[in-house]
Amino acid sequence: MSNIEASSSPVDPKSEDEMDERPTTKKRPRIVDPDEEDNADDAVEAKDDEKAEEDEGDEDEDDDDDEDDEEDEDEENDGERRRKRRRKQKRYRFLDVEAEVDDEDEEEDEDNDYGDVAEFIDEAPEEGAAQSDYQHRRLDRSFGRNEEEDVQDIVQRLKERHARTAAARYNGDSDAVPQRLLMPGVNDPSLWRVYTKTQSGREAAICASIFRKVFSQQYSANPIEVISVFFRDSLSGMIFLEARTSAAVSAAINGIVGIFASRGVSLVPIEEMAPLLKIKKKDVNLIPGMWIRMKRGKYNGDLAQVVDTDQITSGVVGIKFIPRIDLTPREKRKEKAANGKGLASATKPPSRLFSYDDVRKIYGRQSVRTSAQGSFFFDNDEYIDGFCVKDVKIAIIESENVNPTLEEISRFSGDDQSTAKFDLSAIADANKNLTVSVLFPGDQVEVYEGEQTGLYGSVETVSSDVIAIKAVGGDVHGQTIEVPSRSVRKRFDVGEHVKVLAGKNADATGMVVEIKGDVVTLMSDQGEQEIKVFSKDIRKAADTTNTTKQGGLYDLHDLVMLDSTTAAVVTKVEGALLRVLDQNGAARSVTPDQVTIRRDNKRFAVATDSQGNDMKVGDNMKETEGESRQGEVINIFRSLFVFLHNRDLTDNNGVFVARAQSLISVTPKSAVSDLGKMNPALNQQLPYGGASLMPPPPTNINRNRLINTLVVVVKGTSKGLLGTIRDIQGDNARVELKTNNKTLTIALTSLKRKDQKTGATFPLEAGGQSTFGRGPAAGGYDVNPYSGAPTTGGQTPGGFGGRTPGARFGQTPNPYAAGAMGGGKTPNPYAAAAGAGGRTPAPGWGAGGKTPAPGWGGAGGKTPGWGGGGGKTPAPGFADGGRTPGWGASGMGGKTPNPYGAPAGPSGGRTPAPQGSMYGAGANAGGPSYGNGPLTAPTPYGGPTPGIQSAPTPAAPSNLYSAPTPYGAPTPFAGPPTYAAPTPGGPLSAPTPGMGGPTPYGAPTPFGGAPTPYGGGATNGGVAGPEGIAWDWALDFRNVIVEVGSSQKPNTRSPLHFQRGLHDGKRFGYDTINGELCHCISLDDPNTIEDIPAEYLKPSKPDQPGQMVVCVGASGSQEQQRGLQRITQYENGGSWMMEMDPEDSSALVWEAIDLCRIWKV
Amino acid sequence: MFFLRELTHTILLHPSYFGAQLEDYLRQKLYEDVEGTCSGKHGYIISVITISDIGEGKIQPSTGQAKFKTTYTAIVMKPFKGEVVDGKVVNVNKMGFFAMVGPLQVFVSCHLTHGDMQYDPNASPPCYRSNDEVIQKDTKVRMQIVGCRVEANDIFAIGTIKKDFLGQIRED
Repeated sequence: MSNIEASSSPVDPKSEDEMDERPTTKKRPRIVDPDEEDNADDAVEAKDDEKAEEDEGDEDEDDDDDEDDEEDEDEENDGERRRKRRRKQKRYRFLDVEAEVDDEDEEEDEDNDYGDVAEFIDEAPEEGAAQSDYQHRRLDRSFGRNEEEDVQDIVQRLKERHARTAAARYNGDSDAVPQRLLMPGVNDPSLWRVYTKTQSGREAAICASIFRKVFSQQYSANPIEVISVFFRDSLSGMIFLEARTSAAVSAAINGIVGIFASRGVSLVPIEEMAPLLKIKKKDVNLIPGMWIRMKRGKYNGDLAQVVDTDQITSGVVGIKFIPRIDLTPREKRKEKAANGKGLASATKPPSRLFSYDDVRKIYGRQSVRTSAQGSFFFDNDEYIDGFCVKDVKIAIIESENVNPTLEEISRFSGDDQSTAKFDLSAIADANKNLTVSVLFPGDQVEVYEGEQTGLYGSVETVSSDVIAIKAVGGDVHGQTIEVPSRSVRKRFDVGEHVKVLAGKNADATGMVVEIKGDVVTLMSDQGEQEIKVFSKDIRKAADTTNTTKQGGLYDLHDLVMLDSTTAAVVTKVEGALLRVLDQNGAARSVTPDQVTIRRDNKRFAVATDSQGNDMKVGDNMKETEGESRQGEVINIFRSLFVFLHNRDLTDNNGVFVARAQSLISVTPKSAVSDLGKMNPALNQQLPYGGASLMPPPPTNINRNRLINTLVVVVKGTSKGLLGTIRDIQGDNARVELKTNNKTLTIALTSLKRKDQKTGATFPLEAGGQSTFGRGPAAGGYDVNPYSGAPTTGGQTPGGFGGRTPGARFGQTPNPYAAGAMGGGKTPNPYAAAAGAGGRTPAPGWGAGGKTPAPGWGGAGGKTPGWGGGGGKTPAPGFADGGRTPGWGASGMGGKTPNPYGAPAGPSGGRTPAPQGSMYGAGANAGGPSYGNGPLTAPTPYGGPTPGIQSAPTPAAPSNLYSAPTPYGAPTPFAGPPTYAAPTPGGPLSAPTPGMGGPTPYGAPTPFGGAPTPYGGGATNGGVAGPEGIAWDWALDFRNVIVEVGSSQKPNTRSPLHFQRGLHDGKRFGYDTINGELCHCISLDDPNTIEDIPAEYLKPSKPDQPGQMVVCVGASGSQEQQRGLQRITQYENGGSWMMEMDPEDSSALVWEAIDLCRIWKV
Repeated sequence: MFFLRELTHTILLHPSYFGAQLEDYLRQKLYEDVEGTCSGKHGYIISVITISDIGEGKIQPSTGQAKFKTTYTAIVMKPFKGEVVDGKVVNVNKMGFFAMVGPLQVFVSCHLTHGDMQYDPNASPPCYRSNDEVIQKDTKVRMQIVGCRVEANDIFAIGTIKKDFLGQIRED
């Protein structure tokens, strides 16, 4: 025992454990307890404290004894007492324990006088003898040694001894011994606790006022017997007074504002007194390389690294950190100061590495001093490699809960990109303490230090320091092994999908691409970027990210109802909480029971976007206003609120809400998504009167052509006034009144067209009216292409009559230039048909509405018809429609917006030849030829095929998936096949436009039927030219032989003869038409090529049998056969008998004037 | 890896398609709907091989659309961890390169290439270069998949070429 004491040996490693056990020994006198614990603490904290160690030694002994004691405690109660006494003796051998002796004695007196005394007597001599014996011997030995040793040794030894003691004195937390002496006892003044009214902040002031009160009465008759007053920051709301009696305390606090007097004064138990005043010392265990944080000043919170601890004993530690040097130019700083912002209030300068050049620039050369080692001195600080290296007091650094982030550390390493330079162990150290908190059962961990290094497995249980791992692999496979939690780290595999839990990149997910110790590199899912994180900060993610679908009652992007009128969409499912975005754009968290799920309407919810188009769930839409966000529609609420999702947006996990009206489709709608297009029936434009479900889209009428029209106002205040349209603005017209030269804005509906000559009024737009009844007798143009039946006279041909068959066609801008001559020129799509469709703008072709054209046609009541015989009419009228807009050229005019206009063949432009439609055989003109492919392009068959020769079958390659064939499509020509479709002319393979081109997927064939234009069998005098044929007949044909002659065009301003009759009588063939000019090649001399206006051309009549001719239908009787091609057989009195064709019921006899020779086939 | 799988698909058909060609529509729609799609569970549906059952149409209330539950067999491609695949590089950047393995995008991080392989941003096109290999756009590479991220309708994989016999595939 004494050996141990004397030699102040290092603490036995076991001592700590034993000390832990100590509180369990209950038999110890109470007063000693705080003392001993204190002692134990000290021992732990300051191990180099010699005196403490001596105590340790004592205690070790004691503890051994204790253990012994406890073993036989039960048997000998008396003996125990005795031993305790003995122990005390030993313990306080070096100490002055008189104060305690009393105490002990008192206690023991109460107990058992005799035993105690007996022990005392027993033991004392024994110990005393041993001591003296020992000391004597030692003395002897030292004498002997002194003799033996030389002086130097002695000096050496002395030095050692004194060095040791000096060190001990220097370092000593030497309060241990005195404090235990000073431990309060029952005889000491007691400590009283009083409460203050406010919880915090006022304690100091209250203490001060108590001081003053006590001091002021100190020398009075009744001084207040309070010895001390204090408070603890950690115990807010309490003040402690040291006094012998509670009365003194009451007197002291009486009248002090802020004291909660009614809560009374309570005594602090003796054993609590010492701890109350104890200042908990922190274990500042600073190691070079460890990370710390600064606590104060402009570096508050900054990370720093300990570089040297040489002076740690004097409370100073050398650290290294990234400086924050204010590099704002001086002038600016002055400005700032002038503005009242002192330097002190200035914001923290950004932390950046010290740069000599920068600093010199701002502060001047002399401010920075360079040292030999390449470091800089600036402002009394030393800078090495850009870092500031400084000795600071330990008090201003924080060594706990440093949690350096990877970014901070990478800044320290000076290179954000590489982790290679990191002192990984330092990072690991810094993060060690956290390991437990982030481990969960099931995590994969790996042991990286200790005897189990390399072991890995999944966490089974987690306790504060120890975790149990179910090992994987190796000998211990499947066993559960306990390891210290600080020596494990999470384990990930390359390729694993993980989620970042903390740090700058919290909530990011990604796949592991590299693992280097504690640092894991992820490839982020969100964007193409790499993220470096500590393995402790990530955990394995589900294969799907949180923004994708999860199971559960409410799924991501479900539409839920917050209340009966507010809908919201789930943007995130966070465990039991739903993060939702409501229709007003507000995001909130709700529990599932706060919402109701809305019936899934994703399949059919439709809203209308800003352009009036439908949008549906799944469409890509874009905002037309605001941020122009783009996203995919995920939900539609009330066709009003549209919820969209865009992965790229960060707010609300990419979900946002917009008004349907403020959205626009990003991409053209696919046919599939549009219900209207999905319906094959709607894809098809039903030719005649088919009950199309789709209303015609609003036509874009070019009303400008109404400008300068003479109108009469039929409604409103100006009713009856005459005026001229000067401008068209939407549905209104600016009308310049004739009466007072004023210009008014009047709705178009209130206007009617006034004919200048006749004074008759017509609806503004329905010029077609006058054409309705126009029979074949009508002029060469203005032929109703659909008036199939060869009626004579003013009788409206059957079926269609006034009812326009093509009512629906108004939509298409005149694809088929219906009418013969004039027709093509009008902007009116279906020429004649148009009449009915009120929408058809074209009043125009031919005489049209404008033309008073009194007469012909015997048309409907309104039309000033011709009345068959035309008796009434001077019929000047059909005229040239000079007024008809767009009339300009001849039939095929380039001006015509006729899409099919240009093409070749006599029937060319007229042949609608809908692309992709399957024509039946041409010869079988009227015969309905069904589309043959099962799923062919919409074959609105029934179109009378133009072209006798059946040549122009476009026969588009049938497209498998296009719109279906509307089988029932009525043949445009109701008439019997016989005369149903007199193909205009194309005896030859007049190339039908669109032939062959692959049918665009589902392209709706606008019109199946080929409205074979009638030439208009204008036989009536005056209408046709001298030859009885319309002057521009040639424009309807091609590859025919013509003769040049005088102009046939009535009222023409052109010279009567082409080139003054240079080519008169000569025969030409032509195959192309340019406007009204036919590109004619002389039959006699192929080098003679002239572009001859159609008005000079006459059909070249057949002159012998066997010639191939086409019926140009000059005379009324053959009008319906116009375009038919036959071969002449023989002539009889101006009529030709044709060779019989299979489709003819009998041989045809045509007037010679109806015929024209075909130039080439 | 490719599999033959029996899958089902529900088709909603607009009433206007009800008619003689109904079945053709259904087939067509099935092809359109499923071929080229990806489900996390089955992988990429490459091609429909047979349609085993087209199902009975069931008219839906309120819309009139008919619902057909079709059963079909399709070739599906699903990547697995550890699988070695050949692909074609589509994009090279400093973090690594992306390669397409059919419909599957595989990312090979620069950390998962051999140590001597360096990114050369100045080359045109940018490439990864080592002593005997050059990986740039359109290079054929052999990779091993080390991880897959499977989402509801997409699959993304990370590959490595840091092993023997992986990397650039030479034509010769």
